Amino acid sequence: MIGISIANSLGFTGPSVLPDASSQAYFAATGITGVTQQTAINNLVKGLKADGIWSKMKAVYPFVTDNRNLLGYTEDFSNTAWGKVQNATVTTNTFTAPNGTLTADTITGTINSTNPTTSNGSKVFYHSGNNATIQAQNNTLTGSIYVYATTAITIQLFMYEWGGAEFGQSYTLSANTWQRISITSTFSGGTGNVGLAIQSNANTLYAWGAQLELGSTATTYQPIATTQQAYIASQFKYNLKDPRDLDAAFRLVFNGGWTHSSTGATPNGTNGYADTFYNPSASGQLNSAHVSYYSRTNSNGTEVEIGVERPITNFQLLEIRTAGLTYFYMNQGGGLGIADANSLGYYIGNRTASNVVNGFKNGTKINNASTSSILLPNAKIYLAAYNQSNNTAAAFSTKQSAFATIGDGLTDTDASNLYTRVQAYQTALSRQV
Amino acid sequence: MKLADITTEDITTLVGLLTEVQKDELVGVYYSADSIYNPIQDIDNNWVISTEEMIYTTNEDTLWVKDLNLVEYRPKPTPSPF
Repeated sequence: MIGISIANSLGFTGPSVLPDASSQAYFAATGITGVTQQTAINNLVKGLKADGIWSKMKAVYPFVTDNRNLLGYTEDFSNTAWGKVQNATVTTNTFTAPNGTLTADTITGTINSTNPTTSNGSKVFYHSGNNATIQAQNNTLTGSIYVYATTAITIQLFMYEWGGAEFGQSYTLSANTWQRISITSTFSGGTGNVGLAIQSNANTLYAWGAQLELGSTATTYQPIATTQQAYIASQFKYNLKDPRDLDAAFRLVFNGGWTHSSTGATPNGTNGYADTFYNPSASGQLNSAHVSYYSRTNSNGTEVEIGVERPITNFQLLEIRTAGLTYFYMNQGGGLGIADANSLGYYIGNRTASNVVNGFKNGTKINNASTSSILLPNAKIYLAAYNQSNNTAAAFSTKQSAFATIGDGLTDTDASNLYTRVQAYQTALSRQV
Repeated sequence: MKLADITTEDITTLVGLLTEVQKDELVGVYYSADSIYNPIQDIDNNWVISTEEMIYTTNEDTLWVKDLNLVEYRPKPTPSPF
């Protein structure tokens, strides 16, 4: 009880355990407030500290998000993500929103349809299915939006599958007050994206704070300034060990094509990679180094998950399952691939001496070699590719990452404990493999 | 073929075709707050970007990428790093 009361006095509303200071800094940077996510991070950090592993970390990328709102531009209905019909026009930031800021939009238009459908264009405005982020499938979804009218009116809120099923619900609004209206429906099958639409017979309507989310409850509104992808990327980029939005803190900058979700960051295998800004020559040690990557994708192509090459043929990298072989190269130029039946799980490439290099998969040592170290690569480590000696990214990965680290060398016990902590973290987020 | 014509399944097989001038306009430019374009060359040395970069572009100065013609991606062979 003492721990809880202290935590609450600090304004911490997440896990019912005393939050770690490192976790607090991370939550402040990322804006993560979800209890599940905060608890998972807090337990991870406290576990790594208890195991003596935290101090060996230089960069920790947890790829965690508390994104719930599946819509974009949720306070900007003028954006093309929102379709406008019936001569509807949107004037942004012209009315005081429920949160007291001048961020609500004024929507004008004359609507006269009494039997609206998606196809007849009777909506005032709608979140285009082409810009939505979730398919109907068999999902139960809840859409919500804050609306305000100066006279009592009837309004319809619709949730629809683009080109498919549609659900509508009518509300009678009181005059001169903000009301949050919502609709919950379960789709049957359907691969079309889900959108949200409004129909109104008011000539002027004020709107703010649209939300679409999984489940049957309209939870606290979560603003998404631009896109859901940008929102998640803004949380994924932070290094848990040093959560400052700086290259010097080894924050990630994503390059090329990525898709971000609650299960991790997925590079497209075409041109997607992330720059860690971590240069082993500047920040690492030749004979004490590790890199790790939690892969949620089973593949077998020529893909590097994390690494750098400098100069030519001197590598620090993890290449998970190319033609059935996984490679652990730590400041070296040669080494054998290890037979690997799949590319799922948590991989650690590790060096603890000039002639000791090993590799772990899911806590088990699968590589134990005496390959000599050569040099510390003098260039930045890339994630989901490697920073090739000709200064380009190469061997783009398709493997979704749910966790990755860079740091000092780990003992066998450290590697085993790290896997245990990371797997518990993934399990807490329901995304373990 | 344009973005509006494709399905989710097409996203991984199609890329947006760039001219040399367009490629130069995108190098080092952010397409959203924390993400940078990465034009690459396909097997025929055409400059292309991924459909993800096109779809997720929020940069007002580069919204023109959403109107790029889409072509099937034919990658250059990926040599082993070693």
